[in-house]
Amino acid sequence: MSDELRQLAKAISKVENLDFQALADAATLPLDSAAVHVIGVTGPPGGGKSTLCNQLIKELAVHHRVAALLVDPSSPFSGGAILGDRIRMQALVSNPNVYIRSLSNRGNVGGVASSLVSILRLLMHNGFQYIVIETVGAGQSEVKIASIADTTLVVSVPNLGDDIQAFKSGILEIADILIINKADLPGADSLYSALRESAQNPRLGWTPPLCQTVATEGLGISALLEEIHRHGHWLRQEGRLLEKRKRAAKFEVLELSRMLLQKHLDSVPAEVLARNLNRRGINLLQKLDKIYDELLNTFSEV
Amino acid sequence: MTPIRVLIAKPGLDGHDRGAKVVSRALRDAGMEVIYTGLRQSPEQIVLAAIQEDVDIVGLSCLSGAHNSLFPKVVEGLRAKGAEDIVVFGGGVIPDADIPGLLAAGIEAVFTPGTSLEEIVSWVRKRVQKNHE
Amino acid sequence: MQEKRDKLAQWQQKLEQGKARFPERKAAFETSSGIPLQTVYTSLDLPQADEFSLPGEYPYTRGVQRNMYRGRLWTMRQYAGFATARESNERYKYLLSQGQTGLSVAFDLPTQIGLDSDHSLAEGEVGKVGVAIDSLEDMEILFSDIPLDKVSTSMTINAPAMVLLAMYLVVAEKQGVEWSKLKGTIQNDILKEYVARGTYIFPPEPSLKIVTDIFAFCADNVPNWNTISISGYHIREAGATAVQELAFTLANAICYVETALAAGLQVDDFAPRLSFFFNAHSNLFEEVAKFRAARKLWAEIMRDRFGAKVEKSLLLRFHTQTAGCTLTAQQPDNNIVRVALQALAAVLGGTQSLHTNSRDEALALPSEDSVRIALRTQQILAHETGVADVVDPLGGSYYIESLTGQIAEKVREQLAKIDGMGGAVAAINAGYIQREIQDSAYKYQLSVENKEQIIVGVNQFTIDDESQPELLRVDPAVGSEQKQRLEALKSRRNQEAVENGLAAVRLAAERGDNLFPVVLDAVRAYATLGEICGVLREIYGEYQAKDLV
Repeated sequence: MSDELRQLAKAISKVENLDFQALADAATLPLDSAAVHVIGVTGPPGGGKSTLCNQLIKELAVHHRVAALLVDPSSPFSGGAILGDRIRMQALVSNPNVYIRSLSNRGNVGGVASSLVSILRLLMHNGFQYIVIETVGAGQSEVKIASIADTTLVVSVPNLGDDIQAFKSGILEIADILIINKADLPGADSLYSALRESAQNPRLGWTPPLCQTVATEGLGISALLEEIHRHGHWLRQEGRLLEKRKRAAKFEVLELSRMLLQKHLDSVPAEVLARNLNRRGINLLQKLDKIYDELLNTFSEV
Repeated sequence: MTPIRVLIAKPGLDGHDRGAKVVSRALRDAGMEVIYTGLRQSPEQIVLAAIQEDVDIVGLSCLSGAHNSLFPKVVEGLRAKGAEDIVVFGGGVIPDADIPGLLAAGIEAVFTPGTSLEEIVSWVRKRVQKNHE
Repeated sequence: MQEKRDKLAQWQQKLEQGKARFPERKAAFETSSGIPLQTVYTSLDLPQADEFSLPGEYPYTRGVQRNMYRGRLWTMRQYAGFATARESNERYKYLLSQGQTGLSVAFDLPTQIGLDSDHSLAEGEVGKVGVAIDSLEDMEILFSDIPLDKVSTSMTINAPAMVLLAMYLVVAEKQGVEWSKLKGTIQNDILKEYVARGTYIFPPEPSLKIVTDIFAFCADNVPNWNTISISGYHIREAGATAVQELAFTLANAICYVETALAAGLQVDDFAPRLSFFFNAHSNLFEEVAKFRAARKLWAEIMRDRFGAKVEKSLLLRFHTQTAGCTLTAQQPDNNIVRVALQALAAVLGGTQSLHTNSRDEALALPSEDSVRIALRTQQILAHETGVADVVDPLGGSYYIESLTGQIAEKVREQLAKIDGMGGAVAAINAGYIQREIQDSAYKYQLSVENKEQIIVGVNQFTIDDESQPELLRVDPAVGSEQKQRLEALKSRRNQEAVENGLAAVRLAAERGDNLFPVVLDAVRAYATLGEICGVLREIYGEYQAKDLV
C-alpha cells in the first residue's frame, strides 16, 4: 500500500514537471469514470477554504478513498513556493483513506496548476473515489477550476467589504454550490441576502444551492455534503458528467500546449523574439497557426 | 528546471518555530517548493507527509532537546517505507556532542544556531542535485 | 525657541559639510523597530506633555513607585526547572541559598501542553526544557522544604495554568499556609501561545473562559496572586521588533480585560493583579524607552478606555528576561556581556523582577556555574554600579524622552489597526499578528546575512575551532522514571475519588460554570494533569494552527 502510494506520488511529480513520457503515460488513463467525483473548492483568501476542505475530506474518508490536491501560488520572483495548506489538515495525515498532495501553481494564473487534469487521471486510476481540489485563493480570477472539477464550490465569508462586488462579478457564476463560511460572524445575514439572488438563477438546468457553514466547528458540513451528492447525482444523469470530463480533457490539451509553448518561448530572450516576429518574410503567428492547423487535422479525425 | 521539494517539519512538542519558518522562506526565495507541517508532528506523521508529497528532502527543527529520540525515528520510518532516498537534515539547539550520533543515525547534516541561511540553502541544493545525478 | 532652532540649523549645516568629507558608518541610523535616529537630540525634541512628570504618578512613565529600588531592589528570579521534581527542588534550594529572592518554575513541554509523561507524544520530551509535573504528588516534591509563605513563585504555565495553580494551592494547604499569604504569578497568557510560543491546547474562546475563571476565583480566594503575566517576551523572541512586542502585548491585554468585563467582573477587582512580562533586547536605549512607553500606554488604556478608578489598576508592573534569541552558540562567554547590558536596560527601565539568561543557553539548558554567573550579574548591577540609587535615571534625556514618545505613538497606531480588525483574537485568527512577526524575523535574518547587522562571533570576529563548554545533560532515564512513578501513583490512589473529580470537571465545563473549584477537588484526589486536560479537550476541542509561513 505504502509502496503504491510512493509510486503515485512520484508519478505526480513527473507529470507536474512536464516529463513527456509521464504525460503520455497519464494520457492513456481514462478520465471518464463515473465512480469518481471531482470537487473543486475556490473563493477569496481568508475564507477558510482549507478548514472547510479538511472537514469535507474527514467526512468523505469515513467510507471512501479521498485525494486532496492543495494548490498554492509560486513566488513571481524566485519561482519557489511555500505550500502551507497542509497545516490545516494535520489530523488527516495518518488516515489510510486519505492522500494529500500540495501543488505549486508554478506561475500559472487561474488558481490551479497546468498539469492538474493529468494528475486527476493518475488519481482516478489509483482508485480514489473523491478528489478534492483547493485552489490558490488569490481573488477573482480563479475560474479555471470550473473547467476541471465536476462540482465547483465557491466559498465566501462575511465582511468582504467592497470585494463583494468583485466577488459577485467574478467567480460567483462558476459556482455549482455557493457557501457562506464563518456564518456565525456578524454580517452573515447581509451576505446571505446579497447572494441569494444569484443562487436562485438556474444555469443549464441546475440551481446552485446556498449553504451556510462554520467550518472550524464542523457546522453545516453534513448539509453541504448532501448538496454535493445531489449535484453528483444530477451530473450522472443525461450524460452531463461525461460532458464535464470532456471539457476537462480539452482543458488539459490547452494548458499543456500552452506550457509547452511557454517552455520554448522561455528559451529565447524576449527582445530577440520581439525583434524577430517577422523574419525572412515569415510571420511567427501565421506560422504557428499553420502548424496547429496541420497538426490538428491528424488529431481531429472522427 | 524542476524545483526542489522540501518538507520542513517540527517533530515533538517544541513550539519555537521562528527558525523553521525563516528557513522555509529562505528556501522558497531560492526557488524551492517548501511544505511546512506546522507544530507537534510525530515522526510517523512526518514520514507519511514526506512520502505523500514526494519531497526530495526533509528538514527537522527541534529546540527542546528531544532531537536524539525524534530525528532518528524519521530516518528509520523513511527506510521502513522504502523511501531511503529522501534526504533528512536537522537543526536547532543541538549540542556538538550529539551531532556524531545524529549523523550516524542518517541525519545527513545538522545546523546549529548561528548558521547562515546561505549555508543551509546551498547545502540543500547540492545534496539534492547529487541525488538526482 | 526660535533662537534654539537657528542655532541647531547652523550646527546641522556644519554637520553636513563634515559628512560630505567624512561619510558616516551607515547611510541611515535606526532602531530595531525602524525608528530613524537623529545625530543628536536637544530640548526641541522633548514631547510637550511629559515636561514635568514624577515616578509613582500618572501616567507612570518614570516608574510605578515613588522611590523604586531605593526601597527594595527588583526581585532576582531565575527561571529554572529540569528533569524530575526532586532534581528541580534541589536546584531551587541552591538558588535560594545563593541569594535569589524568588522562584521561577520551568515546566517541560508535556506539562505545558497538558499531557502526562506516559503519553506517546511526550516521548523524548519528559524533563527536557523544564520539570515534569503529572500530579499533585510531583508538586509536593517540587516544593518540599520550601515554605510557600516565604517565597514568591512564578510559574511559566499557560494552557493548563489553572491545574498547576490548583496544585500549588493544595501544596500550600498541606503546608498549613493560608492562600492569602501566597505571592507569585502564573503566566496564564494564552493568546501569545497562538502567535509565538506554541504551547496551546484549546481554541481561543474556551481558553479565554478559563483565564477569566482564574481571575474571578483568585480575586475572591488568592488576593495577592498575580493571575496573569501578559507576555511580550516570546513575541519578541519569535522575531517581533520592540514596537511590535509592545503593541501585540497590549492588544492581548486589552482582550483579556474585555473578556473579563464581558463575563461580569468589575475592572478594579481584577486589574490590580494583571502583570506583564517583557524582553530586554540589545538596543539599550530603545529598550529603556520601550519600558517607559509601556507604563504610560497601559495607564492611559486603563484609565481612559476601561474607566479604572483604583490606582493599582493603572500600574504596569512587569517581569523582564534578557533576550534568549541574542545568545550565540559561538564564543558563549560573550553572552555574559550581552546579558549584563540587557539587564542594565531592564533596570534603567524600572522592571519589578528580572531573569538573566545564562551564557550557555544557545547550546543546552544552563549548567549550575552558568546560572550562578547570571545571578551574579544582577547582584553586581544592584550593589556595585549605583544604577539602582536614583529613580528613572535616564528620564529627561532628550533622546530617551523623544524615543519614548515615538514608540508610544507607533504602538497606538498598531493598536488602532488591531482594533479595526476586531481585536486581538480576530487578528490572530486572520493570521495578521503571526505574519507581522514572521516578516520582521525574516527581515532581521537577512540583515544578519548581508552583515548590515553584525553579531560578534557569528558573522564577524569569529574564531576557528571552538570547543563547547561542559553542558548540562538531562539523564535520558528521567522519562522512564517519571512514567514508573505515575504508574505507581495510579495504582495506589482512590480511583473512585478520581473519577468523581473528573466527572465534576466535565459537568462544570459543559455547564459553563467556573472550573476552578472542581479542578481543585480533582487535583486533591490526585487526578493527573493529563486526565483533567483530557476531559477539557473532549469538551472544548483542540486548537488548529492558523499560521502560514
